[in-house]
Amino acid sequence: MPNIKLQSSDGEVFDVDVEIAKLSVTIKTMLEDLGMDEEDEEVVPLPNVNSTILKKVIQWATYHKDDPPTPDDDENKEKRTDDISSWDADFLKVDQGTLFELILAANYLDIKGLLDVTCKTVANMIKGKTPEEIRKTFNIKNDFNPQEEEQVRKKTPEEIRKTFNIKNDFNPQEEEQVRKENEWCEEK
Amino acid sequence: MTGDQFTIAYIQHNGFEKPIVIKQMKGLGMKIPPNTFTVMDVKQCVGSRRELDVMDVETQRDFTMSMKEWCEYYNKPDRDQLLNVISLEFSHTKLEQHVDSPYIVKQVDWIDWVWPKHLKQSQTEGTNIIEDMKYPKVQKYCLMSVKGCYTDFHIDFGGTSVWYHILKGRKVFWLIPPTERNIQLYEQWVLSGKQSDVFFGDQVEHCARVHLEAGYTFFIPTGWIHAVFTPEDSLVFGGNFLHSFSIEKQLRVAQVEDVTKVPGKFRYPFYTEVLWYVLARYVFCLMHKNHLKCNEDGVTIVKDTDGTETKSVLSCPPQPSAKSNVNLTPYELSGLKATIMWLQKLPAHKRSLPDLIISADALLSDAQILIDDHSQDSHQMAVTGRPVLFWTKKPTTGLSLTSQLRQMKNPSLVLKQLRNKEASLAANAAAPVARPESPPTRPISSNQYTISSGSTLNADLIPSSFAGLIAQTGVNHFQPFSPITNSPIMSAIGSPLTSAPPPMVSPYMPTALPPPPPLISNPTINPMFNHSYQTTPTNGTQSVHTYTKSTDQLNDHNMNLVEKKPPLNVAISDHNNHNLNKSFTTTATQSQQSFANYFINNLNHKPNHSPPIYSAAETQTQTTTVSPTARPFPAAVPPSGFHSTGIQSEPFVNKMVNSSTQSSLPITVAAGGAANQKLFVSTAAGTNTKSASNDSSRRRRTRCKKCDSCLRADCGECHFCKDMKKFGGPGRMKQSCIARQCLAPVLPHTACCMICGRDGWEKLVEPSITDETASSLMECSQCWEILHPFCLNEKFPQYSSADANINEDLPNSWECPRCVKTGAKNNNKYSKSKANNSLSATNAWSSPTKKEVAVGSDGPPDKKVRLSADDSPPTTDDEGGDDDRRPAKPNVNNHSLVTRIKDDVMGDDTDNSSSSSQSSAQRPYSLVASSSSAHVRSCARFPLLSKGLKQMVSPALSAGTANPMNKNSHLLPNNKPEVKGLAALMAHKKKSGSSRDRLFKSLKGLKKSSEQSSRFGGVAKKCSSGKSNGSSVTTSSTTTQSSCSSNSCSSVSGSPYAVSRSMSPSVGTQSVSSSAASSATTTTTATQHNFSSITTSKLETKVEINDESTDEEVDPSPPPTLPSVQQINGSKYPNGNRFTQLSDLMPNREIIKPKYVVRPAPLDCDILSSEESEESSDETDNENDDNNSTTDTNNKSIRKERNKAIQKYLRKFRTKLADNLALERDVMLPIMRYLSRNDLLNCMRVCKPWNGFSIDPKLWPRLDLSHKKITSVILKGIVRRQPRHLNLSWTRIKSTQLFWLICRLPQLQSLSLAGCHASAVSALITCNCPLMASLDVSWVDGMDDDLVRDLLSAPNDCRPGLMESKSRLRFLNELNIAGIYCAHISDKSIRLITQCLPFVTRLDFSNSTQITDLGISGLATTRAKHLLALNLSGCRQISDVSLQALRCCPSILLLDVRECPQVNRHACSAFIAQYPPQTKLICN
Repeated sequence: MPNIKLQSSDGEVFDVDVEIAKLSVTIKTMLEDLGMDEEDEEVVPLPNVNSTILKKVIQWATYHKDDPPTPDDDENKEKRTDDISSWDADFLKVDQGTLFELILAANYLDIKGLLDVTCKTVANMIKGKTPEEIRKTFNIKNDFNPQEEEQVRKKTPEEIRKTFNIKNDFNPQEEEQVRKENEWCEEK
Repeated sequence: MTGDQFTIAYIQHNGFEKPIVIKQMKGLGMKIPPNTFTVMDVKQCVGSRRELDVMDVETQRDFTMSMKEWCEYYNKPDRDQLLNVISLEFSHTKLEQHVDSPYIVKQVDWIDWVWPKHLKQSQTEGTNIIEDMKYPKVQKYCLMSVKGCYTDFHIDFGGTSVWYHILKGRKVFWLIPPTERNIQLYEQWVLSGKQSDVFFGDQVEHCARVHLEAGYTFFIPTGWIHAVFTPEDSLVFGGNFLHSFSIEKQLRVAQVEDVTKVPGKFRYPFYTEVLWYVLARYVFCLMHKNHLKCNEDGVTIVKDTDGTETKSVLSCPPQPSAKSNVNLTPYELSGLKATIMWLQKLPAHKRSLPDLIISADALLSDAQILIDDHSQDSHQMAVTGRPVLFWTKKPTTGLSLTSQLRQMKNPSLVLKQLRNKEASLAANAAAPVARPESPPTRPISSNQYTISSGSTLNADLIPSSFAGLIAQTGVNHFQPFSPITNSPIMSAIGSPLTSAPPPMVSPYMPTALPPPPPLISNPTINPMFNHSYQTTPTNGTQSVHTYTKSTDQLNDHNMNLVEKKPPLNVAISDHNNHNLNKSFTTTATQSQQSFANYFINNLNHKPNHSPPIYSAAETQTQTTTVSPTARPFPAAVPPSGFHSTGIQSEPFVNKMVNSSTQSSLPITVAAGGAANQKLFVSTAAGTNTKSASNDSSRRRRTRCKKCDSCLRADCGECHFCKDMKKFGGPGRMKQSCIARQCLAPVLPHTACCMICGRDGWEKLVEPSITDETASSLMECSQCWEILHPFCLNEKFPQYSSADANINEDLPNSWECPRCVKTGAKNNNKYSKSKANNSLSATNAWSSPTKKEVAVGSDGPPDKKVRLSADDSPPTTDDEGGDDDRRPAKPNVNNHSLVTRIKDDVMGDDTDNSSSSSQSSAQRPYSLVASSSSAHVRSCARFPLLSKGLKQMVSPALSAGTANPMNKNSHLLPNNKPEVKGLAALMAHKKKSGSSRDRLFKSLKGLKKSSEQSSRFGGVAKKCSSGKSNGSSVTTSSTTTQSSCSSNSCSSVSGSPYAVSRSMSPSVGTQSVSSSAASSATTTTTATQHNFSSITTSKLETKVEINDESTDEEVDPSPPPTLPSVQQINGSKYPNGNRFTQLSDLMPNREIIKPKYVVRPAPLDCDILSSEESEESSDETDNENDDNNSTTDTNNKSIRKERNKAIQKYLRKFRTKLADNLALERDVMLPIMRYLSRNDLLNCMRVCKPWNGFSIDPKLWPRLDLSHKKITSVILKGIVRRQPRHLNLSWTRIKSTQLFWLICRLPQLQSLSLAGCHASAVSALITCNCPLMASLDVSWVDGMDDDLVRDLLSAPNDCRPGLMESKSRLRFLNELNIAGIYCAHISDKSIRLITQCLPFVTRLDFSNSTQITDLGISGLATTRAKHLLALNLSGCRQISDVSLQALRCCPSILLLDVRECPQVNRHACSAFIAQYPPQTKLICN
């Protein structure tokens, strides 16, 4: 199997099976368009992807290399976020920073499966603190009653801020304005 | 035999029956890559995945392998097999640019002369797949053979002749003449199946052996049986061609192929078709009968009603003697005879009559008549040195542009030229024997001719001039072709011809010459004539010589063509040489001037009459006069304007004329010369244009293929896209999509250093100059010389490249040290005087102006900053300042004055617009704008100024009196640097500010400028009443005024607006060009001219003004050449400021209709750009290391390319990331796609970045607002989200609201307005949603036929540049007009729908009680194939008849006929029985 050399931002070079590397649409199109040959000792530099993340990505790709192609999702449909495979779930039991970096790498490398799964994981974190994935894994019952849930929902911006350590840079008027402006598209 | 002996005359005389070896390629007019060209390069050019037919030498069998595999094989040291590539056809690949067939081949090749041009041009596929082939694609082959390769005896397919150039290696040919006996032997040998055992050479009496060395060119005539051996690895370029001089042999070979059962793949593609076309062509050229269904441009001819055979008027000059003048050689004659017989004999199924041929029989009989007519032709007479075939309207090479350039470079001789010109004119008149026949070169795009004819044109304007002219001249031959042109303008253009005094006209009627150009072509060729003519005399030193020569040529019928017009490539190389030689001796001014002319000519290669006249005027008036003055001629005045034929724009012309008088040049010469030129007929017939364009393609910067614009797809919307064939347009403009104009065009690969002659990859790039192209060449923005900085250093140590101003915005662009130095002295004075003026800067945006001026003077880049600080612009403020300054400095030199005016106008624009306009303002030409409306306009704006200006500008400008120190010639160089400086400065500025900042600022600027412009509007008004500066003033002021009232982003772009109102087609271009300001649109300008030439004379005044306002910017640059344009362009765009782009590229929207929202596009590139430089320098460093290890330079460049390519793919990695990744768009956006609406709303409230992310259109594909009350908040929210599907049903949205909304949602795909009011629905008429496919207007209160008609009629507003005659909703494929209120929908609506909505597939007419069977039948028949769903429930008048009618719709999937009492169950079951199960019929 021919290999391709991928270089992480911190200089580490990974020798990766081309088939695996091709899970990345970015690399795949590049290889195809450039007609890169094996003998080309070209190292493909991947800025912004450090070796830890790249290792992770390669690990994921190696595991998923034989996955059947997923159908293009219908963007009009509400997306499920509770269909993460257990391997992926395990794989993604990492700190938040890594998760984000994985998303970024997946996004840049255009690895749909990885992007999906990582995004879902984070989406679940955002989604009112009731990630399906955690429930499934830890078998925790949803013990929120509707009112609490509503409360949580109302509070969410603050909560989300806390979760991601984001500063609230709105002043109160602005915040109120933003809320008002977008009231109309709330779902009932 | 030498290359230049092998001419068409030779062939005509001797036929082409013997192989010819030419050892020196000089004179052949061939273009061949340098001998460093390798197989790897071939791979680069044709693509590594191109499939090759490879022949295994051992077995003489062929198989396919990819180019990549072939390269591997080729470069392997020990090859296990002998493989040979002999059939790599590379037309339409990149390799094509490197190789050009010998001139002689181009002259005789049927493909060039016989095959319909438009078909050939439609070829895009580079491979030789027969399905994609639009013409016999055999013209360019690349043969790659390894040592020991042998190709056994064969005859080239279809009896083609071959040219063959050995680039590398050697070849040995065995040649056997195609005697009948040999051919028979050959047949036997092939059929024997023992080819591998028998050496065919032994079978025949004579078998010659020819050794060919590298550099030889070899021509094998038809039918020669040959075998080839390759004693060493070789690379050969060649091509096959059919020609008229051995048709019999060719046919014989075809016969042999039949006998030997050569598979179709190895035959000449479309062989029979070619024969048909040959006959058609000969008949056309000699008998002037068109047997094709279309004319040469592929435009279908509308048949005459009274005859099947369209007698084409196209080329019917009243030339009874034409036939007898054309003599066919015996070769051709017998060949044609044979062709006729051959075609007649063909059984019907093998005739493969091309679709374009109208009637085979008619053609054959005509051809026979032709043969009979010519049977007595004398051979001697037939040797004319020119081919018999011609394209009617083809500009061809005459005097090479080179000479023109050279000529223009000697401004000192201009006077002499002028004299010469007059002399030559006189001479010419005396000896009016000219041959207007277009000599053969390869067909080039025909777009040049049709521009005017195709454009819709206000016919009212023509008659006055046209009819008048006809009457005046009484030339009857004018009429015949007017029907064909289909457009009076054509005739109008032609009119100058006819209006010419008789002696002058006569040249058009060659007295004793082969096919004269059909007269219709004259109008179009005419400008070229002017052009070429004008060139001749402008020849400076050589002018006399050249001139005489050309006259001689004109008179000499038998003059060898090749001699007469050097082949293109020769011309090009000349040109290059010229560049090389020129070194630095010519002053920048001169070269610029010449280049200006040169490029303008090129750019305007749509032959509106402008280029010639323009350049003529320009050259004549030389440095003093200026393009703006000259420009209006080409732009708006039909050529006849020179004769003051009373066209309304005359005052303007006069004005210009006056100005040129003032400019101390003999006006008579200018005007007279221009007029005379029209009459002048030269053989060149516009050849210059052709060579010019070719030439320019060498110099012209090319797409970088990297910037956003380049990567974008055609928008399909802009003016140019609409013109493209692929979007259904006529394909005349050949301009790239406006949105795709490259932001940072790079030097072409072919560019090479003027000093060392090597290209940009020979030496490594200095990191500081590094850019994407990685070419180390630098092009001077002043003198346009292209060099390696080090070469310059070596050769001219006095200029250190440290002095150069490097343009960081445009790749490989700098202001070369030399220009910096020469420019410095003059400019110092200038800047000093300026410095005195300087007021304190009140406006940040005007400071660049000032700086740029100063920079220009001082040169060294580092001064830029300083200057920007010291030199406060005198022109800074918007209002009060104007008045102050004017009196303050009455004695300032005119230049600065004008500049100041400009500054005033522009000062407050966005940085972009100001940069462009300023740059133009700084240029010397803008001085001369005085005589034009530009000046007028300025006056209009600054009433006080106008007086002073009027007095001083024209004399001052032309003579440079205001500042005696500044001679005009000096003005040029002085100002040039400013441009450069500006660019650099802008770059600097851009760099310093963050991209967002910039955006913000420019937005601010926008606002300001609009304010300002409205202020000026008032001033203008005042002025127009007070200072009447002639009619044009008024016009201009009104223009200004209206522009001001619009929300124009720049005051300049404003003026076109006014016109755009009245006249949309031309306006689009104008406004585009004007707002794209000084730069981008040189090309557009060209178009613009076309348009303006079409405009009604009344409008012309206006248009001119607009023209000038643009011209003033486009042209004023001393080199209004492409490069300059690009440079400025670069200065505006290079950092990918998308906003700039938006404001520039979509001015029409912005300016004209503020309601079109311009959403700033993402600024990714901006973010990238700052990093770009460091990274690229890193890259280079890396590469340096790499390169050290590999010695092969080729390899290096490949690597570089490769690395660049990789970078391109990994581009998105470059973004600088926020510390907290949760604030990174790339991270959050994908996540948010998994969130529900309410989650998104929450996210919106998290923080500002998130607020931005969560509003992304991707997250809001659908918005459902049904039953809500629409408020302005909601409307804003919708626009922010840009949904693709919007449901506004039952919202009772108001008409004004919808109107506001709909034009802000260009991406809308479906819209529901169910239950809304009819008045709201009527707002849809102006919707501009090309993607809108589904529209639901069911249950609309007050829906009726009238509303449907309104909805589907052409929009009542107009968008600049677009003439819309169809509804903007025409792309709908789903329409729902159901509803109880639709009682008024009747069959009329159905008819409208079928007419206006060609793509509609789903229709809902439910509850439309007035719909009858009749309407449905109509619908069923017109939309039969497409109808998918139809809802007729509740349509009470529908009966079984409709069901019956709908049976003709095979693809219908859903039919609803509930509540249709007249439809009975039986009919339903009968209906459904016919359809597959998935089809649903819903009935009661």
